[in-house]
Order: sequence, then structure tokens, then C-alpha cells
Amino acid sequence: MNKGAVIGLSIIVVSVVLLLLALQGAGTYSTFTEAEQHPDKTITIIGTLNKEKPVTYDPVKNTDLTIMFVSDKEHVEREVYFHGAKPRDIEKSENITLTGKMVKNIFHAETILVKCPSKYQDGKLDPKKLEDQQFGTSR
Amino acid sequence: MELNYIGENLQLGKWGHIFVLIAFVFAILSSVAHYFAVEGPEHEKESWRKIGRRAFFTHALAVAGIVALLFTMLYNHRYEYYYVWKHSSNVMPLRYILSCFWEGQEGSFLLWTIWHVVLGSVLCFTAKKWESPVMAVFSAVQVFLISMLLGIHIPDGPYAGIMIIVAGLFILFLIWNRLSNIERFTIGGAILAIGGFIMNKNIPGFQIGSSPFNILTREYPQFANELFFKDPQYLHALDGNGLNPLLQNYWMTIHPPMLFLGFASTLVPFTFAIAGLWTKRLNEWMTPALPWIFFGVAALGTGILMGGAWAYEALSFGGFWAWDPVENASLFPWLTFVGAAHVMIVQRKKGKSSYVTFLLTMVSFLLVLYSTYLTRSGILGDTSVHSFADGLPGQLLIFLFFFWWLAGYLVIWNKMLRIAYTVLSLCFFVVQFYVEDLKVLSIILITAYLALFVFSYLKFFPKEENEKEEDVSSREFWMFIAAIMLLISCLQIIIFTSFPVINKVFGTNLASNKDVFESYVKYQILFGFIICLLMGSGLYLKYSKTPTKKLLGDLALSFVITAFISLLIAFSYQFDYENDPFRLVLYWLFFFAATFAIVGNVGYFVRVLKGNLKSSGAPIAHLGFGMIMLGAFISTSQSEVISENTSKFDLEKASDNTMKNNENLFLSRGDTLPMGDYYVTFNKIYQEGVDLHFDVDYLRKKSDSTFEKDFTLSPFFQLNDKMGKVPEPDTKHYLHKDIYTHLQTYKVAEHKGIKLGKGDTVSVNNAILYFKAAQVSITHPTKNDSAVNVGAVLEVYYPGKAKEEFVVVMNDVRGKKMSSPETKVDGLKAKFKLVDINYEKQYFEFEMTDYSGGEFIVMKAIQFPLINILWTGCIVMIIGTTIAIVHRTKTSKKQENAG
Repeated sequence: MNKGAVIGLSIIVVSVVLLLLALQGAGTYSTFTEAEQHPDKTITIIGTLNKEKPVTYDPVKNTDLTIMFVSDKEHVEREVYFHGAKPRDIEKSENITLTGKMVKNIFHAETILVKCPSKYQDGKLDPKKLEDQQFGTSR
Repeated sequence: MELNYIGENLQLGKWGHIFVLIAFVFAILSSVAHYFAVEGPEHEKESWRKIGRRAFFTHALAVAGIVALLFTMLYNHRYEYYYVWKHSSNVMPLRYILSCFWEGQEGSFLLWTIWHVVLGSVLCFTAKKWESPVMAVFSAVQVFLISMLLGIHIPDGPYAGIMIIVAGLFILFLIWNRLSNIERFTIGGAILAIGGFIMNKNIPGFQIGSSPFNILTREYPQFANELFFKDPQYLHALDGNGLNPLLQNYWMTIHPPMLFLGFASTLVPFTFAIAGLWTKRLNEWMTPALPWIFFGVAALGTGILMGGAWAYEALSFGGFWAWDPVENASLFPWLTFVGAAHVMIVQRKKGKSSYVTFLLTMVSFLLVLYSTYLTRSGILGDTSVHSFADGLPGQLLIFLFFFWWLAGYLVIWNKMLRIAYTVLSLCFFVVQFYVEDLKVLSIILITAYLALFVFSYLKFFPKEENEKEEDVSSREFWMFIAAIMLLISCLQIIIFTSFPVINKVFGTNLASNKDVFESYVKYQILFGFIICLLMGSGLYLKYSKTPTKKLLGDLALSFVITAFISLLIAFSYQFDYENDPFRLVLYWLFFFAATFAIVGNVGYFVRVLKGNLKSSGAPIAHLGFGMIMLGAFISTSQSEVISENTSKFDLEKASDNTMKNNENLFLSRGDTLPMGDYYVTFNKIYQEGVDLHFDVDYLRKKSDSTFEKDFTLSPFFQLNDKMGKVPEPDTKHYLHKDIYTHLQTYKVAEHKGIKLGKGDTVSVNNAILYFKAAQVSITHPTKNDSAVNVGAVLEVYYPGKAKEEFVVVMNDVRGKKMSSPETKVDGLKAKFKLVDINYEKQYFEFEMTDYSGGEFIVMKAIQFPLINILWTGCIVMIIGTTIAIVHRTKTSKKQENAG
């Protein structure tokens, strides 16, 4: 066999190995129920913030604790302790990606990714907001 | 009823639409004409080439026109245009107009187009005999890019099918002369069948591109019905939406142009590769392409690192690289491009091209398209902090697939297989309209493609005759390995970044691990280890065969010096490895390899080249890259959060070591707290424009227990009423470390206005405030500078405590020197001053500054050691690459003259 074929094959083999490693290392988007069943596993959840309940962040007591209520894709709601300062604009979030573990009915999140309907990049705009803004500045 | 709006300038937009159309049509013409300059009859070629060149310059002028118009609109705040309204505002400083220009989807495509036009114009004059094939591909890319700006709405119904038929017949007409009658019938029939079939499907209406010249009130019906826009004078009151505050940073004015220049520069070698395959000049194309590859490596590398610098300065990631998908996407093409550069050096030396050269060169541009798709289509939504919202996914996919198809078509060196490949691709295109679940289909297609490519390569692709196996001690062998390592490193990042795409195609539900060490660092550190070792030793190798004794001597010297440095570090410094022995091993391996790369290249420059700059592009660029690796590794892995707040309850214990301890520091105004090697305090709060600054003083404790100020950092919040409060960090730069300070949140005193007539009471902070009396005094009654001063005597009644009396004074009432000093009332935790005295209605207006809620900041401070090695490395690498470009351009000119 010539060298090109050897290298070509090895690239394919390496990429398959990488792909397998990736699949093995990757979690799946999961639910609170599953997090309860596997309390020692780090789990990723996409959910939505319950905007009716408060997001508590009291830096006087603890600078690294934000408490909120999130419901997952199966609409199961749990209390979430995010161990960090309150993410900006979390109240406006569309959905939230959390990674962490379930400890005694509370989901302890190590990382959080807040996805906002972005006001500056989104193609769809809320006309109501537009009007508020414009009248706000013109007054 | 049609309203007559006042003050609108709609001419600009009309011209804009016209210029976009001109640019689009002439890009097509240029592509077609250049195509015929290659494929047409011999006597027509020259005239086709001239037409093509003129068409390209007309296209270039039209693009310049679009840019000028959009810039005029932004500069004059023409908010009747949606793009201007959305991306700029009145309060924005002039210097950010440029950032507004490319903040939106349309603007960034335009920026990309501009660079293509610039590079294309240079190519027209420098490509010489390559001009026609190269510009045909170049213009075809422009057709796709300009189509992103068209903004044409296609209504429901058969129109998509009609478009496919028209485009298909147009292409058939182009290749008419090359086909036999049977082929003409088959292809024509296939086009009509596919088109007719799609016509029947009644495709819902869609939009081709999005124009930056759309008018707010006319083309966005959701606004047009608003009451606000029923006012013909609406423009007087309208202010723009403004620029994303995070983008209001000088890096953001220079980073995107640099990055897009890098993206654009991958197109030039791509077109040369395509042209080489197309005109069957498999080896000659590398000579003109090589300087462009070096240029692209430098431009794209600089662009990516500028993005890192921006993230480091303005974002709250806490670092210059966060392995965010958007960052990764910009890295893919750079890695393959560097690989392409190395393979090409080897192959050009041999005078023969190889499959891998084509592969890496073409894949670099195709990965630019893929990363554009990743970042612009909104597919990254749940995994990236800065994914740009839904845009033109369909159109981007067609752009991406077309050039993937074209590149694949040309490397399959056999007519029958090319037809099979095209039919397979078309079938996939049609079938996907029907199939919900793409999983099986995608697997079949990918397998078929792989088989097709491997088979066609083994069987048909022209290879070097009686190819000699390269010697293991030759430079080319190891350069080849380095390029393959870069490709594998790139593959790893691509796979791990592409989870959302994999999920979409295969219907899986994969979530990427948020721990960057697990997903990227542990792999990349291994690849980086090998690449750094190769970088440190590669230049000592000779082409074709290296005398072993000499080589071992050179390498041993580098090795001894590196080992000595490593030992020195090992005795004086303990790596922070988070109690993971695996990590510690990786760290030491990488540290050793990166140091080896630096030592090896410095040694080569000094000992072998004797400091001769002209031919030292390679060692200097390698030295720079080694420094980047070392600096990135140390500053990231050894960064230390110094704002750790252990005075609060120990989270690690409370959560059985699953959680990190606090990383934020709570600091009240006026307090001084220990933090790392420092003490921190903050007193001064001030507003500058829209920025609310908090001056954090870093203090050192002297031997006599007094504090001495070391430096002050001024992180701030941008108070943007439309986009909320946006924090921006501040960093103290030392030669050997940076101290980065970022605010999480803050609370400052509230200001309240209180109006009180004599005898009135009001409740303030659980106490009763009573306006007892007003006093009047006159200073210098007989002199010119006489002044009337008023004092308000107030009493506070605290529940269960003695009352307190205080006076708020306003000096020189109604005079030139009117002033009201603040009176502080400790019991109320508030300060008062007089703002106004209303004589008619007989009340005093006070301003109360209420600090009872506390005034504090929550801050995070990170120490980045030796990050300056990284930045210095960037500059060194750019210098090295520039030297290489100059050197390569000279030698390729010489070769052209000689040949």
C-alpha cells in the first residue's frame, strides 16, 4: 500500500476513535427525573425559568448562590441552586442550560448558560417594546 | 391611505437596491465570462477574459457603492432604514459607526464581500495565466455572497421550482458544447423533472437574502400598524436601537475586519486549487498560491487572537479563550490552513502536488463556510453565549453544499464517478424534502461519499510515478506528519463543537460537556505536545535525508537546555493541577514541549542561520507560535481566582466537595478586605457618560500596619436603558502577570426627591422627618457680594430613641454662587441637600441620598501569570509569517521568470 492510503486510513480511524470518545464523554440533554435517579452523575438540562417565582440572589449573605425555579422539558419543576453570582438578564431568559447534580430534591448547578431573545440581533422584534422605547426617548 | 412621511430620504435605499442587483448580476456575468475564457473556443478566449474582467470591476464598483450608501445612512442616522435603526443610535460615539456597520448579518456579509472584492482585484492583475479559471470560481463565490443581501421575497407556490429550472437550464446552456446529444437530453430532462417536481410541491414563501436597505415602516408590517408610525413626523422622535454594549470596544472596530480578511484570504488558494484541478495543471498552481496561504495564515491568526484580546478586555469570561463554539469555529480553517501551508512547501520543493495538498487547501475554505453556517444559522443556540440568532440557514446551506460539491466533483478524477457523485448529491437534495428522519439517509450518503472518494483516489487520481518512500530522517516526512496532526487536532475540535449539527442530522440528543478540560484541553494538550516537539526539531532536519550524527547533536543541545529550564521551574514553582495526577503529567509534557519549541527555534536562528533575517521566516514564526502555546498554557492553567471568599461558609464541605468555594468577593463601600496578596477597598463611584465606574484600590500592608496604595482598577457597568446593565472588567498589566477585576453586581445609594412645606412630616427609613422651621440669614448685607442664605431646620423622630435635629442649608439663594452642601444624618443613613425652594406653593424640595440599603460591589478578581508571553508570541509570529510571505513572493517571482 502506498503512503497516501495509509495516512488516509489512519485519519479515518482516528476520526472514528475521536467520534466514539466524543460520544462516550458527552452527556445527553436530560431531565430532573433522571438527575434524581443518578445523584452522582453530572447532568445537563435545558429548561425554562419559572418567572412567577422569584430569582433570589442576596450577595450580603452569599455572593455565590442564586436560587431559582426551573422546569425541564417534561415540565417538572425543581428548585435550582446555582453556585455563582446571578447571571445577567436571567429574568428575560428564553431557556436555560444547566449542568450539575441533584442533591436532596435541589439541583445544584455548576454552570449555567442563559439564552435570551436577543434584542439586538434577533430578526423578530416585539412591536410593543419598540413603542415603549420610542415613546420613552421622545418624551 | 398612503401617509406622507416627513424627512425621509428614500433615494439612498433605492440606489442601494439597484447597486445590490448590479453587483449580483455582474458577479454572475464575471463568473460565466471567465468560465468561457477557459472552456470556450480558442479564438474567443481573450475576448471572454476581457468581458469577465470588466464585469468583475463593475461588480467591485457596485459593492463600493453599497458600502458608501450604507455608511452614509449610518453616519446621518437615517432611522427610516431598518438596519440603521437596529444597529445605531444617537448617543453613540462616532467611532463606533464602523462597528454598527458590521454588527448585523447583512453588514458582516458585506464586510466579507468587500475583502473578496479587494483580493479579487489584486488577483486580476497578479494571477496572469491563472486569471480566468481563478476568477470564475472567485466570482461564483461572490454570486452566493451578494445573494445574501438581495432581500427578495419569493411568494408561496411554484416559484422555487421555476427558479431551479431557470438556473439549471442556464448551467446546461453553459456546458452545452461539451456534451453529447444523449447527455444534453438526460441533463435537460433531469432538470425539468426535478424542477417540475418541486413546482408541484407548493413550497411555502421564502426570502432570498436580507437587504440592509429595507425601510422600517414599509417593509416590516408589524411596525407599520403601530400608532407611532402613523405620525408623519415620526422621524423627529425616533432614536435608534443602539449597538450591543459589549461591542462598543475598540477591539470590536478592528477584530471583525481582520477576521474577515483572514476568512477571505482562504478563498484565494481555494480558487487556485480548483483551477489547478479544472485545467489539469496539478502542480503549477502551488507556486502562486503559496504566498497567499502564508498571508491567510497571518491574517486569520491575527483576527482570531484579536478576538481573544477583545474577550479578555471586554467580556466577563475571565480569559482570552473559552472554547466557545463561535471561537472554535474561527479556529477550524486556521488549523487546516497551517497544515496546507506545510504540505505545500514540501510538495512545491518536489515540484509535485499531492492529494493531501488539495484536500487541506480546499477544506480550509470549506471550513470557513461551515463555521459561517455554525455561527450564523442559529444552530448553536443552546451551547454558545454568542450565537447570532436565526438568519439564513437554508441559503447558507446551499452556499456550503455547492462548493463542497464542486471541490468533491473535481478531485474525483473520473467522468463516470463524477456523474455518480452528482446524481447521488441531487438525489439527497430531493429526497430530504420527503424524509422526516434524516438519520439513515445521512449515514448512507456519508458512507457512499467516503467510498467514492477513497476508490476514485486509489484508482484514478494521478499519483507520482514510482514514488519513493520518504526517508524517516527527512524534513518532508515530518512536516507531513505535522500537517496531519493539525488536521486531527482540527477534527477533534470540529466534532466536539458540532454536537448541535450532529443532533440535528442524526436525531441524537447529545450535550457537550461544559468542562473544557474534559471536552477540549486534554486532547489538544496531547496534539499540542506532538506539534510543539515537531516545531522544535523540524528545522534541523534536511530535505530528503538528514545526517544522523549532526541531527542528534543539534537536538541534544535543545533537549539539555529545555531540561535545564524545566528543572529550574520544577524546583521553584509548583503547578496548580487541581489534585489530578493525570493533569499534572499532561501539564509537564506540554510545558516541556512548548519550551523545547522555543529553545529549538531560537537555537536554529542563532546557530544555523547566524541571525540572518531574510530566510528566517520559519524559525521566527515557529518561535512565536511556541510562545503563544506556552503563554496560553501557563496563563490559563495557572490562573488563580484571588477573590475567593473563605470568610463565608465553606461550600466545599457543605456540598461534599462537589462544589467550588466562592469565587466572588463582597465589598462594602469604605471597607478594606484581604484578597490574595492584597487588600482591597473601594470608595469612589463616578459616572462617565453611560458608564458607572467603581474605583477599586489594591493596597499593600506595610510593616507598620498602615496601608499603601499599589494601584487602582476601575471596572464599570454600562448603564444602558435598552439593554440593561452591562459590566466591563478592568485589568492591571504587569510584565509577569495581569490582575483582572470584574464586577458581578453592585448596589449604590438611592436618590429621592422630597417636598416639604413648613410643619409637614414624612416617613423615612422607619423614622419620621418633620420640617420644623426655615431660617434666613444674609451675609454682607451692605456689600455688592451680599447673599441670602436659607436653612431648613428638620427633626427626626426615631422609634424608641431620642429625636435629632439638623439643618440643611442653601447658600446664596437665587444668586450666582448658589450651593447646598450635603448634610449627613447618621441615624437615618442618609444625606440631604436642598434643590429648590418654591415660594408660590411654599415648599422646599430636598434631595435625599439614602444609603441605608448599603453600598457594595460583588467582584471577581483573577490573576493571569505570564500572559504577556502569549501577546509577545502573537507579534513574533506575525513578524515571522510576514518575512516568509516576502521571501516566498520573491522566490515565486524568480521561478516564474525562470520558467
